[in-house]
Amino acid sequence: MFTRDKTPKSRSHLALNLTIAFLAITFLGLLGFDQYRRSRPKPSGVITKGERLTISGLDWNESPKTLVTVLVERSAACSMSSEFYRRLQKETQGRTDVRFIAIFPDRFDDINGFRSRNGLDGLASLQASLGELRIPALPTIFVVDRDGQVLDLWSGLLGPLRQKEVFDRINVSVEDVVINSDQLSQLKTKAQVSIVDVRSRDSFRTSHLDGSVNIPADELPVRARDELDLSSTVVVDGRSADPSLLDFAGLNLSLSGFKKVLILR
Amino acid sequence: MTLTLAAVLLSLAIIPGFAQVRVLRVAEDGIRGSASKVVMPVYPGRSRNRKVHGVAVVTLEYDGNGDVVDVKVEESPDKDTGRSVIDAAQQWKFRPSKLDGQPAHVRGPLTFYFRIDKSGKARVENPSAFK
Repeated sequence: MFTRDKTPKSRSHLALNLTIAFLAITFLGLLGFDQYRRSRPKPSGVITKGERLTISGLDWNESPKTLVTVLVERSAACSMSSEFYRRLQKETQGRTDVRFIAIFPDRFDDINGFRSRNGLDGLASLQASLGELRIPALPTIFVVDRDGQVLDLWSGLLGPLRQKEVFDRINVSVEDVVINSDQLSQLKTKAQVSIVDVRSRDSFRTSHLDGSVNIPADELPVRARDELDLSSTVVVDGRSADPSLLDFAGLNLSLSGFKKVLILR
Repeated sequence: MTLTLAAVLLSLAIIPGFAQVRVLRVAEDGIRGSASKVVMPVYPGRSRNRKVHGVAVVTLEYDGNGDVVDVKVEESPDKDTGRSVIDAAQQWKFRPSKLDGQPAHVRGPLTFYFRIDKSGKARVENPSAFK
């Protein structure tokens, strides 16, 4: 069926074919190795929930629970969260079961400036190196027990849902940010309400609540102030949205100046 | 040989990421912040006469030279206002952006408001965040 052609021309073709195939295989192999190297999980090296933590100058045994926040004076995200910290400071003052401490990697003169600019005078503070803290992002907040074990950890800017998680973790009762349809109906009778649907345009087209406006979550920072009444209670319709998307939406609305933001679930 | 060469070329073409343009996704402040030439959309006469108003959002992409290569309407009050935003956005110019030292395409949203006030005067505005 097959015959082997042994002419010099066919041999040179065969050699060329083999060379090209070898080069292609080598190239693909190198590319594959590079992809593997990039996708390989890297050691995180950051604080994780459940680990025992040691921070110089901090004795966990002084309180059943210690709520620690790591703040950097020059970080805009840290300043943006100052209202949340003021609330935490107020709610933990005078309590014996939990204390609230801020750790700054900055020098102490910077720390005092940050505290006074953000209304956090009197907040117990400590200085530690960022290397020792091993935080995943700024700001980071975590709860530690008497044994130094990290019970919970939140990093980055927190929206209303994740802020409530922090309050719940230290047994602070705050008004619920999540409401249901019945509560929304009641709310509409006594307050001015703007309902915003933060899902994609396609999801909104498929179904949405009567009277709601669609502003996809990532467009809120630009559009919210132009399209929603700043003095109204904003209800984010999140009945079919991911909780992280809702928290992100709530955070963006708060940062845009909306004082009362609720999540409809 | 031709077959082998074709196979090699085909394999290179299907490798994800190979020879693919790297697109950097940015928020609107990133798009507006790197613009070197800005052209506002005009309010189309037909839309104005019909008192059509509202928000228009497009997704714009510019290349490594800062030239607009794609504009897609995400939302607009009507077709004419959408077309007007495309016409304006295509004239925008940008400072070239780089990713890992290589010229990169940048993609992000642009928002405009088509407004008609009580006296009937029509105007196109940027979001208040960028005024």
